[in-house]
Amino acid sequence: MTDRPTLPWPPSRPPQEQPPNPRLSVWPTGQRDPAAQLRDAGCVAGTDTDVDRIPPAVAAHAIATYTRPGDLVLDPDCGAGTVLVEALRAGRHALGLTSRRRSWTLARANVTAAKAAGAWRDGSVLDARPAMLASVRAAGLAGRIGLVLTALRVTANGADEQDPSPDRDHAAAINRLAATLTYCEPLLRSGGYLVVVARPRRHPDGSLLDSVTPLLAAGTSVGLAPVDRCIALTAGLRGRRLVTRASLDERRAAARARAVGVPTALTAHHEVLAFQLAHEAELAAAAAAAIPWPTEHNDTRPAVNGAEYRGWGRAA
Amino acid sequence: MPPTRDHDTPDDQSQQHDPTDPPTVPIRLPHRPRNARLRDLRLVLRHPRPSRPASVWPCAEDELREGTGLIAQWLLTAIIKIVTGYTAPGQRMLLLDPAPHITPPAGWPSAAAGHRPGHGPYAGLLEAGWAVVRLGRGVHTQTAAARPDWFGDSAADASSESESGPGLHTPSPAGDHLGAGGTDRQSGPDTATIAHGRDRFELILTAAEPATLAALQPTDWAGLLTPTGTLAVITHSDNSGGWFTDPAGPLVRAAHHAGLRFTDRIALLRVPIRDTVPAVAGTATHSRPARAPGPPTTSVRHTQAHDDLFVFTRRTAANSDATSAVTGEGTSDD
Repeated sequence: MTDRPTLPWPPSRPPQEQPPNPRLSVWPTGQRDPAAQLRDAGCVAGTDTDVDRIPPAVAAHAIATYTRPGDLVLDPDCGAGTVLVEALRAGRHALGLTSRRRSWTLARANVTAAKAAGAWRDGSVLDARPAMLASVRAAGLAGRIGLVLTALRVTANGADEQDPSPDRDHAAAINRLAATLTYCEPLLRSGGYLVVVARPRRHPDGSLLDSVTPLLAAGTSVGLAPVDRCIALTAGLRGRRLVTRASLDERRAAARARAVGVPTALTAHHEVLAFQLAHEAELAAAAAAAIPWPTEHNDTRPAVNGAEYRGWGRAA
Repeated sequence: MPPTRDHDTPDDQSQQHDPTDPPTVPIRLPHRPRNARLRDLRLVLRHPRPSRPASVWPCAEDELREGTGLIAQWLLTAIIKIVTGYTAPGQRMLLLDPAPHITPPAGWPSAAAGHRPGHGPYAGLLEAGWAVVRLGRGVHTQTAAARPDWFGDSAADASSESESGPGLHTPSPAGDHLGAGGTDRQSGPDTATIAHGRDRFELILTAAEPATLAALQPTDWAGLLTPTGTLAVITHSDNSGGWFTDPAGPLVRAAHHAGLRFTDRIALLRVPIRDTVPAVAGTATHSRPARAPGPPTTSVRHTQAHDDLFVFTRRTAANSDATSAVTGEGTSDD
């Protein structure tokens, strides 16, 4: 009997997807173009139709930063499932919800592709709305989620599907996300995080929509404490240069806005907002202020993720 | 090949060529016809490549080049980019520096509130006036106090101004006092004093800590902008107390009340970000209190490697109509 060749799992990640140490608020997650990222992640064809998806490199960076292997990652509005794929590739369990038929098909196919490539953690996609998380069907998830990672979805997925609630209005999308956060907050385990990724958007008159302030308010209103705001680059770093990957429409709009005397910037990043349970954020802040953690000159410098070291303990 | 000489021979003798050496033949450099070079130059000057500003600006230098001034190198680079991006040569701009004694209102964390002369990430802001003058823009520097309703009458004593243009006065980070022009004492923006009978400013630029910004209210200076003018505010988020606070909400709200339009929020990278490993060594120009590393996955906090540039423009009907006509489609970077 010959043994089947086994691939090393989890597969080695490109170095740009590893969380840096020290962690900086700017994530170099745009070194590969969107199509290459989907190809590297092994996503199925059609995933790129989900225009509001979290880029795979951003999802991988967030998962590596905020979770440990074996954690459960939840995306309550998963779209085509890039978060689920990256969670499985990183050795985390993944659960996604979507109420869109085509998105469910794509997400299910992506999970299957990831598992066929060697992922052995559990990955599930439910055809349900985020409100299901507050029902008895999700009672077993309470206090088990290590990371809720989701995107602010404004546009509907696909033009051919019958979306029951096509949130094209930015304010309506934020309200819907606020409701989703309400359902997700009881599911977080101690030390868990909730991370929202939002792409900067503009009003039809060219002005920038302030997404950060209403998102912070939405998280605070459900008992979460905002702890970080990071910049996830979608542009590539080439030394000191930044290579933007804006679409042709956006470039044309920026050029015309410049022509009328109102220069606007091309989008080169996604906003990343991290929340934590409020009492844990307070305890963590108090612990950080009171406990003299080892400095960089000490020998017990913590590893990037999941390492045990002297003094490790949960504030909660 | 230089000839081999005795070690006792003085060094100056080594410069002499042996008569048996072959003559030095100059290496011909690739030569382009002069007409082609002139044609390329004319094309560049006639059709300059438009800059494409992105929402992230790398402003940090690879190597630390400490100067004698107070201003951080990344801040000077950012100001130069702002000036060249939002003004044209010959236009006037206003550099607005918060008064040194501005103290934040109660409730702000003390670590983030300190703003003393020579300290803080935005110290030496007015030194950028030299660079602005070299760029061919007229610069007017102003040390501004907070609004009187914040701190009372004592805050009005620190407001001073100076005018600088190409070849004019020297902006001074300490006082802005001019030998010829004197000093006007005022509190807050005074349109009649600054822009009496003259052109207004195409750009007003200020940089302040978020706590100081709440007291300074830079949007109150919007009246000094030209109809196409731009207000640029450099500040940063604050999570020194364990909780994250963002300055965007009150700033954007105040701008709307002042008739300004929120155009952009740009991340200014003050640390060189490499493809893989950030080059943080040797770039400690920021004097914020360093956070002690915490336990892994329990309190994950990121070190701030960027500041925020808020860009506002005057909201005029012509601009709104023209922009809405050309930016009707949504933006996408995918």
